[in-house]
Amino acid sequence: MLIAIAQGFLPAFTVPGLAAAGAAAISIPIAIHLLARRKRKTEPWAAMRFILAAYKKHRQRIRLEQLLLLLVRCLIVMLAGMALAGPQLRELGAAAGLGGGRTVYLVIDNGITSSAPGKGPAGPAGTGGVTRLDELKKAGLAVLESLGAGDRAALITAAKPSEALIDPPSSDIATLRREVEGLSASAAAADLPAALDRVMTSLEREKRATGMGFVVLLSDFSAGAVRMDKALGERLRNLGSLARLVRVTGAGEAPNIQIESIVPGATVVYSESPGQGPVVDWQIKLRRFGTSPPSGPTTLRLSLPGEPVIRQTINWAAGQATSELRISTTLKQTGPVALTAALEAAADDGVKADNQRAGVVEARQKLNVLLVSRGGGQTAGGRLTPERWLRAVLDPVGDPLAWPIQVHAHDPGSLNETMLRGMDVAFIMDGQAMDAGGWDLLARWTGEGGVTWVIPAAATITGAWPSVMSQKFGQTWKISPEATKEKEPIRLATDGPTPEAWTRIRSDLRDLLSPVEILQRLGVEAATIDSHTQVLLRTETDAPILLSAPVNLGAGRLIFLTVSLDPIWTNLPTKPLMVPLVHETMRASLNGLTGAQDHHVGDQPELKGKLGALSSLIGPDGKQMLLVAVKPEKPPAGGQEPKDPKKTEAAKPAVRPIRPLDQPGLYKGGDEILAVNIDSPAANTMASAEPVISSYLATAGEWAVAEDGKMSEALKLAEGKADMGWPLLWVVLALALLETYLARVVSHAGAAPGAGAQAQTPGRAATAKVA
Amino acid sequence: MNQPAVKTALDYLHPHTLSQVTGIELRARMIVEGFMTGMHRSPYRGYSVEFAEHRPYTPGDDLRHLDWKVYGRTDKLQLKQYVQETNLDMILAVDASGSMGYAGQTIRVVKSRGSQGKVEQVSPAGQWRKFDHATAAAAAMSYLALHQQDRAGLVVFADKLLDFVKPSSSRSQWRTIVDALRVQPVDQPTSMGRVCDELVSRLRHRSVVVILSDFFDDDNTLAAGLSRLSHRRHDVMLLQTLDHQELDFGFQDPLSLLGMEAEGKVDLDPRALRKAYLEALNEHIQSIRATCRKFGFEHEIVDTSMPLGPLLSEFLTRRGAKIKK
Repeated sequence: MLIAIAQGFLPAFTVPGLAAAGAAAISIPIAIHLLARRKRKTEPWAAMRFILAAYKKHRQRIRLEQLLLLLVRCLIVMLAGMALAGPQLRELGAAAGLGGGRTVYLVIDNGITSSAPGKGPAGPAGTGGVTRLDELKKAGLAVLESLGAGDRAALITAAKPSEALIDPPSSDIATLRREVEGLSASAAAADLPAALDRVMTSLEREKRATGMGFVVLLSDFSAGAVRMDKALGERLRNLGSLARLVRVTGAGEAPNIQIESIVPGATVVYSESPGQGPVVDWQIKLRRFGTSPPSGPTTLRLSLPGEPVIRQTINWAAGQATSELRISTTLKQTGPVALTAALEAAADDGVKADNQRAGVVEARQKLNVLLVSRGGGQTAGGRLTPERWLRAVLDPVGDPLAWPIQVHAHDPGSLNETMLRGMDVAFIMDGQAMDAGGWDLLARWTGEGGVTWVIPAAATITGAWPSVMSQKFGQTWKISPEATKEKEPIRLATDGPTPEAWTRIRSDLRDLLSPVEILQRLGVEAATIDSHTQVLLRTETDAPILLSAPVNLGAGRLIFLTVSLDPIWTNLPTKPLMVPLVHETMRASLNGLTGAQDHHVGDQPELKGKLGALSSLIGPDGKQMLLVAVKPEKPPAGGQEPKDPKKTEAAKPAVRPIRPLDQPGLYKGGDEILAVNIDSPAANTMASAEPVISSYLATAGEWAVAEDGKMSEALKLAEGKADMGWPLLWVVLALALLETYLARVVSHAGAAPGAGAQAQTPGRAATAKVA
Repeated sequence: MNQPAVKTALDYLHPHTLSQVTGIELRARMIVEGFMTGMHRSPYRGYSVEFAEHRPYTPGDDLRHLDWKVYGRTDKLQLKQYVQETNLDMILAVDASGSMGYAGQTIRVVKSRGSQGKVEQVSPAGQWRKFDHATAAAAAMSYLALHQQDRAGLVVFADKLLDFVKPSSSRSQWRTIVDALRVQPVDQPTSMGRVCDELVSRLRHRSVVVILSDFFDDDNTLAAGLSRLSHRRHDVMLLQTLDHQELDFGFQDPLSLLGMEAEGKVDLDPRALRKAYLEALNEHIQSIRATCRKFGFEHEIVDTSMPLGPLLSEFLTRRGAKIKK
């Protein structure tokens, strides 16, 4: 064993023989010490009682002094030998098992593609075969195996959200090993930028010496992990200067089939005709990954609550990568309804987690519309009031039972929360009659998932309410308080792109827009219209007529028509555009509300609207997921408060899951449903070419590629060796000085003979102390 | 060119010289003769009935003590007063315990140079034991005492009285004492308590007891013994006889010390232990001194490497002082 230890140490010296000689020379002072003990002359002694008393009192101290002196002498001899042998510090540390004080950041990609079959023994993943994650874990364990007692390591996972399982770096290798062995593949996307960002943060915090840190990135580098749309951030540009970067080679491709998307025609649907449930058109896309996927069938099962399972078979042609399926379903219930789709097991499917997907729509039997107006059917001039025009558009039949839109009317002065409860769209026909409290209430309701459509009253002078409205809804619009009368009727612009809201009337849109004339309007300064506001209608002179803006980050929507529905303002009410304009804009606005959007595994989304009022969700596994209130954003340090505090008033309750949504499926709370699906592009199991991987990671610096089984070599410290010869010689010199001092102390050379007794007078003597 | 060394009287009293002489009687004579020769230059002369002072005559005084010469010169009657000399009982107690058999390796040669003694060289010499020093001193002291018409006696002791010579002033007394001193130390420790008890029981008169010993005994035992001597109103001089090596502990190399009174053997580095040893020895000496001070006894440390002359001078001075008391 001693030979093995010596063999481990000796390569750390330039001249190993001298080091060995130094070690052997330790025996010299020991031998001298032992021989000096043996060679003693025996003397008879009379004053033995005093010798014995002194000996008992000082025996321990004398022995300790002598041992200390012997130790120092041994050290001098040994270190002198080592110093002359030219020791190299880092190799010495490594040989001693100290590892040279390396800090290794182990980043393991346990994203969705890590569950695909690896390059190891044959056999599909999940049936006892080796997955890519198994191979990455094995490489990670090899890294940990190569670390010495003086090394430390941190463990960071790359599946979204990236998690630091052990950070700051720890020298507890056993715990690190347990954590690596316990890793499992996530259904979330790999987020290499976020994982490396964590490493960067830790490295900056550690402030370790350059060259002593290592970042070991273990990933399959599939196309789903190396996504150019998620490039490494600029912050990582210095990563390579803080640590040496090491990665493995990418895994090969693996066949995979996935449900790429489920998209309903509209996220909020309502019955088109009485007695019938809303009809939803679903678009389902499937994708296959692989260089040349074979031909063959794939069975898809679709299920709606209370409906029998629908089985659809897709017959793939050889090499076909995508397939699209459209089905139409009639919903028999209202509220949130989820369509779940699942692929039946296929042999050439590398990743199982992307074989299911869900889409959610909000089904409503009737659309509840609130008209906030002071009422009155006709103006003094006998004209129809704007409210009458609008009511005619919303409920042309006049039979609430036979029409899917139910109109409720209320006076602006009595507007309260109860009236707004259950409403989908609120039309404000007389803004001047609304007080500030009413606008507050309306803005809050809109922020929780409503659509508010504001239309000026017929009066030419409007007052200050447009500004109040703009403020309460958090908009930047600057609206003139008085109508701008045009000298000549102005027509609506017919050129330009068709807004997405009017896709269904795109073909007739030009004909519908052409006859509409604007006589007067409320001016909105173009410069105050921000990028979030969509101008749906504008005049030929580019004056905005219909504006649509998200409220509370898209949870609700505010629509503002700058003209009153009165012939003095415009002929719009009398033109064919009026009906499709109101219906399509309403439908598109409801569809576009973010409350129905789906989320990806690994997200920790901010939930608003009806979901924002919940305190918990039940996950796909039946476990409860608590929702916590989102704290309002604080102003940046040293910054100013928002100019308009009312701007945030609409941002009412929002919650966030207490932890990331880590499972795909449906999360339910009360009547609400949240669909959580895998991030489809992240499940791309195709291999990334080495140049692509290098290019993707190049932002962080130069990466050394470790071949299989050669990870420990990649972790060797830099070539620059620290010669410890001179420092050791200085230590030897210091020890020599210490030895001289100790030898003087131990030998008591200062207590020279004669100092203890002095002749006082001839024939009489007294000891010094007696004298 | 080196001049042949001229020996002085004191040289004869030096242990270096004495160690060359065999026979205690001869040694004692050398000591005394050397001492007496030196006395011609010393202040210690005229030990006899001698004049002390005058005082005015008062009626009734003995007319034989009138100083007629003073009357003739001054016409005043002055009476001569004399120091009344008294014979003493002198007991010399010599320790013959095992520890007294110790002889150091070196004897310091002291050459007189004016009034100062200076160590000029250290040379090996014959074995000069503490016991030798004590017996030579005892023989010389007894000789001087007898010469002063005192009654001299001798005690040789270790853990008990080994020999006892009754005090006497007869002509043959000195030879008897010298014969008694021709013994060798025994392998027994000193036991001053017991010795003092036995000595007290043998002494009939108040005596001056001169003890020559290293006093390597328990402090309390020694104090108890001295207290009994003090109780019987004996006057005691303790001459603590120690070898120079014992006072200096000048060993250099590691060695094993073997106890002379069956204390066993100890391996040690003498330089490491020197300070502690001297502290222990000094503590012992201080204890003896404190005891002597308590009883009004004399205590002196006698270095066996030093000449005996000063010791004898001190002895005579103390004797004179005791007579005047």
